[in-house]
Amino acid sequence: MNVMDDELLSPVKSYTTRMSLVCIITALPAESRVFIDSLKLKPILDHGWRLYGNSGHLLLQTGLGKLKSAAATSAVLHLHDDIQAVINVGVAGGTDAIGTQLLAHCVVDQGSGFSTYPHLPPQRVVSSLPSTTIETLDKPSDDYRAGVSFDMEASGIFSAASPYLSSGSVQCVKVISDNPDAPLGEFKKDDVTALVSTTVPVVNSLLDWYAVSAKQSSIEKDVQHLANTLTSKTHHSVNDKLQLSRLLHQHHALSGELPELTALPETTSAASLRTQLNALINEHPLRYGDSS
Amino acid sequence: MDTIYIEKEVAAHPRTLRICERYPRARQIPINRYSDVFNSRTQNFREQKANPSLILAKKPGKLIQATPPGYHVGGENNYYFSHMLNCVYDCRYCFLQGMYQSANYVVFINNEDFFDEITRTANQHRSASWFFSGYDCDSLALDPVTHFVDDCLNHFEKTPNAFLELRTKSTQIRPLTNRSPLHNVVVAYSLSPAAIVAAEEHGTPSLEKRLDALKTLQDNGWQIGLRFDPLLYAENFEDLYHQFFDQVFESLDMGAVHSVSLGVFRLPKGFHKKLVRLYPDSKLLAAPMDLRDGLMTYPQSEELSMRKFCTDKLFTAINKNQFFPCS
Ligand code: SF4
Repeated sequence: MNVMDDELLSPVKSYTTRMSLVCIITALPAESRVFIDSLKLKPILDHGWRLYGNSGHLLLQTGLGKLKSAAATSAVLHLHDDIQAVINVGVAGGTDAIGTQLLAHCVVDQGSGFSTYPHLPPQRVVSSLPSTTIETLDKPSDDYRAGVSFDMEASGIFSAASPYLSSGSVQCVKVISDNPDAPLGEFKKDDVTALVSTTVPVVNSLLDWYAVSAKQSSIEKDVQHLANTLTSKTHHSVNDKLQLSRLLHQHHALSGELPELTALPETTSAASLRTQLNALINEHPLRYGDSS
Repeated sequence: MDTIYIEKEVAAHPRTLRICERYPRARQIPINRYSDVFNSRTQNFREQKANPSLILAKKPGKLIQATPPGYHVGGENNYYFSHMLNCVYDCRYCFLQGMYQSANYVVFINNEDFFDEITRTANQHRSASWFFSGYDCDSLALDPVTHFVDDCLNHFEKTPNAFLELRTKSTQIRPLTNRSPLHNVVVAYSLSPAAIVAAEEHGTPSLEKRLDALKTLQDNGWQIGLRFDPLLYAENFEDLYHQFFDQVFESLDMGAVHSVSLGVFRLPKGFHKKLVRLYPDSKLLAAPMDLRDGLMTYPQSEELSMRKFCTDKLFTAINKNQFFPCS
């Protein structure tokens, strides 16, 4: 049963845009707790994944290691196709001082050597946080190197998200929890929550930024919602659906708005719906200048 | 500029250091090859256009390419080169959106390698060769950062058998007006009616400002070219372009214009498909279009009538030997 806000997972009833989702991804309960509290997230029972949410945010707790993080990320992105971005937050080892927050500018999978470069948000969004290379290890290590921080999940999350999201929609914020002066052996698990709590302002700022970007591109969602409404009444093949959404976009481009449902009386075929739409589009010739 | 990726090989180059000095607060991220960032497959051009990064790199391999057939202004040997990839402007019809995954700007800092190859290529021919800059970018728009134009003009000054076209929409003409004109350099402006500039050429200087820059260049003795490409379909096409050409003719000494070219909107099918995916609400993509010879363009009858209207109008102000229509 889904205990989350009804609106979040229920079918779309109209073509009014609903809020886009950003999913925070953590490995450990002590990291998750920070965002469950700060964003007032509720548990969601969803195919056994540890998932929490509210109307605009999800939190996925993957467990330790890149295999678990990849499997959980891939499954949740597949189930929730309205996730617009993911932010991996957690602790990392490195040469910076304990508590230093870092944004990943490159994520390297130690096993394969494969590197990913996220397209970074503007500095103002992340309070000019310093950036670093995050190397995802298979086993914990205290082989600290300048310019590189270690974690155990990021590369799994990035590779699992790549079929679903663009390079600007997957970010990684880490806090240094161990370094050569305080190596991993001395690390106390109890400190995790306090360290990750320091990232709340920057994570909130990223969440706000993604929400604003989603609003700017909301027309795409409006078109898809209207297309869904229309195709639920008349059979459409995949190709018919593509042609329909192209025509809806053209109508919007030329008239500045989507057609009213009432202007498209029920039809028996996808082709006759397109004929109706083309007639509406022809009422708005393409013009440039004052008279357009 | 928030983020600068720097190839390790050019990190200590004086041009790299000068460009980085301009952006002291930018993140500097070392990389091995520019293609590691620029060609990565999961990028979204439209998303990056809102916040592009700069990539400083050394251009490897062949630096000068032969132009496609029909791309010339009267010369026999025609080549193009790109000292940078991508553009600070955001024209909705731009083919770069279809060509590249990334909207980040790549600036190649090995200028001397370009110039050596230009000289070598020019020396292979008995007749003069033309080199077109601004094929994969705007030639002048980022010049306050790259300072490429100054170096380039210094080189062409010493290479009289090579001609240079700087193609632009930018009004950053100081590197030109600061020096004496060169006989073998043409500054060519892409021009469109003001209403099309406002609707489809985001972030570019207005038509008026471009005409002012052209006039200044003409007054300073530089050879100028006019590129009416792409012509865009509109129901009010004739009104728009009639007024537009009158404005151009009134602003410039048309008899002294080096060359004029003209072409309608056309894009390879794959690029067009990508553009529709990136900007499904673009007005220009709502025009009637056909696929002809692998290119998405206007129906032939429409194209012919647009071309005829503009050619007739142009020939009221220029001679046939100034005219080089694009195929
Ligand atoms: S000025 Fe040229 S290169 Fe730049 S965006 Fe416009 S069409 Fe593209």
